[in-house]
Amino acid sequence: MKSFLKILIFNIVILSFYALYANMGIPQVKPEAPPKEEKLDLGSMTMDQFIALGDKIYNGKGTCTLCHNPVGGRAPVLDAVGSIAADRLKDARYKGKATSPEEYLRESMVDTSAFVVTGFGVTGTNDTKSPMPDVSTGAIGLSPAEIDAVIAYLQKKAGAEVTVKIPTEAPEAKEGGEAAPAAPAKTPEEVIAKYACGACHIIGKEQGALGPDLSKIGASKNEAYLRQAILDPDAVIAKNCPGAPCAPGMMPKDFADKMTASEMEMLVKFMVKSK
Amino acid sequence: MKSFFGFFVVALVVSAAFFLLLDVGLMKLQGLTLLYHH
Amino acid sequence: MILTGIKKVTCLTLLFLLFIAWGGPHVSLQFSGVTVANAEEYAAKSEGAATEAAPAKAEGEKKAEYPPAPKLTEADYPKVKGFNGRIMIWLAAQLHLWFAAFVLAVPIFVLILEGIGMATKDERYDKMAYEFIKVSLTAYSITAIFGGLLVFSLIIFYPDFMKYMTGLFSSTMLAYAFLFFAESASLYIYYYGWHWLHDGFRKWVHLTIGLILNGVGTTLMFLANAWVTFMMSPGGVDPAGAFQGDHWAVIHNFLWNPLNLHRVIANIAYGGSVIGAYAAYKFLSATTKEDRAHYDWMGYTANVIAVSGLLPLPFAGYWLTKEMYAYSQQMGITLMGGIFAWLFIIQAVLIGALFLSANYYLWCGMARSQGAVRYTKYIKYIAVAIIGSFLVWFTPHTLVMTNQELKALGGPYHKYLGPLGIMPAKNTAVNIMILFTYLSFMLYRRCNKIATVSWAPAGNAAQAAIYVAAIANIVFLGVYHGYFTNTPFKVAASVPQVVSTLFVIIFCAIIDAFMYKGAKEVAPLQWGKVPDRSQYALFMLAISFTWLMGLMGYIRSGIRQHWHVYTIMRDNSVDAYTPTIGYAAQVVTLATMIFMAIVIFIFWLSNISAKKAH
Repeated sequence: MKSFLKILIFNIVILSFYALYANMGIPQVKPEAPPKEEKLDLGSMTMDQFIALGDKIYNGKGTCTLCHNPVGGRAPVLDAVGSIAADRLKDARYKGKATSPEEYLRESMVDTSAFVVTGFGVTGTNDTKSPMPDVSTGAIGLSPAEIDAVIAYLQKKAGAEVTVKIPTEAPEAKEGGEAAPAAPAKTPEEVIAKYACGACHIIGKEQGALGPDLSKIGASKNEAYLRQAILDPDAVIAKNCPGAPCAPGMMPKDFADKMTASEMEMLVKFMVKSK
Repeated sequence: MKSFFGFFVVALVVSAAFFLLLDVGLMKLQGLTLLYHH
Repeated sequence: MILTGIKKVTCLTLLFLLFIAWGGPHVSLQFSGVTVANAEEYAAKSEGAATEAAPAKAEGEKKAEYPPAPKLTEADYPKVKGFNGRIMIWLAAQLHLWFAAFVLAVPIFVLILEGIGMATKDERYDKMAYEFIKVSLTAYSITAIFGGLLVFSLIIFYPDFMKYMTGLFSSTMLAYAFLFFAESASLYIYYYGWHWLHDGFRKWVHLTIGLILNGVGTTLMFLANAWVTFMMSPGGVDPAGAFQGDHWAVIHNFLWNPLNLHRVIANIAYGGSVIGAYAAYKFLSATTKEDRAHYDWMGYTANVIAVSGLLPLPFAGYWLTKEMYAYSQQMGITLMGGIFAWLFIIQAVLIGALFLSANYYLWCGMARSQGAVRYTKYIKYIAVAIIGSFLVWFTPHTLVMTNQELKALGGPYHKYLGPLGIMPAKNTAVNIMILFTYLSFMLYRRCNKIATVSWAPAGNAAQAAIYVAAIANIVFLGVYHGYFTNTPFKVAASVPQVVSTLFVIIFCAIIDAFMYKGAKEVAPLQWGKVPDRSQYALFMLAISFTWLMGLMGYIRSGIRQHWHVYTIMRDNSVDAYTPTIGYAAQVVTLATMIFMAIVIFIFWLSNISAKKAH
């Protein structure tokens, strides 16, 4: 019995040492929470804000700095790529289809083997194959707007001219890129999702921040007004938009062609009830 | 004692040569040279 | 004479046929792609090669037959009051793995021991083999219990994930379930029939059953490995997760074989260490000299098994990590350069503990023979080399620093100590540790003998020379490539380092085998004459191995981060976050304590079963 206790205590002491070491002897880095889909507030962004967004993605969601850093040696440092891009297009080893520095940068994130910097290719492929993944899919999954933001950031970083335009359309949701199903939506929520109202408006569960808040629109507007707002958006411009004043040409004009009558009626009745 | 040291020195030289050849061969197999050229 | 020959040929043929039977599942998995369900689709595909319309039709059919991975929300994960689903699965899976590793490993060395017993006609080996298989029998049912708990927990807490997985893996899961009939049958016949099948030709039959047991067990593990590696490096599905028709591609994904190899070797090492703990426990509670001698010998044998499994393990792990990098640079870098990097420092500390315990046990063991006195003076040098290597092994690369510290250091890395944190230094350290451990083993092996061959001084000189040359070579490769070259060179330099180590071990083993032929036994090994503290080294080995396996299991599972199936099926549960290292360590420690409690229970059972009626 005595030896059993000695053994037991010995083992518990060892275990406690390991547990304590892991808790106190090692820096307790708190890993980032799983990425949530961010609604990009593009319409009201200035170029500086767009570049800042690129910076945030570059150092965060894009996980670029995991490899593109000066010490690891796994991927080229990107400080000057915004201006080198032009030279790359003329390089004999360039295999891609880009015709401008901006296109080159976009292509380099998706078709990563179009040009592989010397010394950074997959071992044994003689720098013809890149180990970099396609950032628009898979674990990183940047949307086209996010990629544009990173391009803007890289161009600014190199001191080159920022040629990227801020996308005016709402970006596609990362995981909902499939074409709309053929059958008409059956509930107001389905209509809202199908026509991406939430990209700009606060409506239902969505939290868009470009167009007027529709969560209580039924308190101030009637059916006729709302029907017109969907079918002919520029007819009456709302007074209050988040950030900047509402402007004509912001809301898509083709809902009249896309929506079925039943979907329209469902949506209008839903909004009228939202008080 | 003498015989041990004598054998040791000879064996050391042979081993060193062997390992050098091994290094060169194995690095070559991976498409690289033993010494790094910039 | 002829009759004996015929018997031998018969069994060899039997063995051969059974090898085929074992290999069958592996080979047939390759051809299991075409089933009734997708035969139509295959026909459409092959016919459609010439025409435009048919491929489109096949596409549509494919989409209809095999849906993509579901997109889940938090609401899709059932909650059970009082239970945290993630922790349940974590504990059930880890405990299942520990017992499964043990239950797979024991038949491997029992088979080998039985073989040695047959070859040397030494009954002690056979008796010891029988004792090992007896211990593993209770562990077998506990493995199954945790397996059942794991499956139930997965169904309860992650039903949609399980639906997706069973859709893909139904054939392997059924095969897995049915194979257990073979596993149980062979294990029980092997154990219960041990004495009945003890003599003459029957012994060959018994050995064959042991071989089948190993084959079935390994196949079971390979099947389960397919599920787990699919989650990490999915193959055979499109980016949305829809099955592409080829079962073999799903099973034979990137990480399948590296994990298979790693787990086979690690199981052996782990199984050896658990038996070692069993022997240590029995030794310390032994009351007679015979028992002490018996359990001392058992502990020694178990330790040899554990250490021989331990030595190639870093390289199997290195291949596993290399394949992870090849599959996804991002996953590889998150593993070793990102948030999981610090875990490898903890791993380093544990491996240091393992090497030190293994060596300490060998040094203590030298007390069994008077002849060891002439070698004890070398122990301190070996200790210095191992501790020095351990310090390099455990030096981190990236330190979390304040701005002042950054300024004082002149950058994020120290000019000379920084490279100690990267692979060339680590490889150098581990190769040196392995070499010096082997040296301890060599000294132990010769402590009770004197070589009588005439060329003994030359033989010793050759061994000493190869050691010195190899160490110099390994250090040169590590220092030169670590400080003066770039990444491809650094990675490639590990190969000549490993080969140098392996060469030394093989060369010295061969020289020893010849040099000590007909050697004089000056001071025979007195089994049982070993200090009690040596047994604590065996416990240290077992508990460190267990905890290390838990930690590594966490890393393997955690590297998927917020994915059920990496890049294909997102984990949207409330527990999708990656926890801190401290938290993970606490769960692993809890699991290890549960494991210890059950193992104590098993050891106690073996005690009471030996007790006679009052």
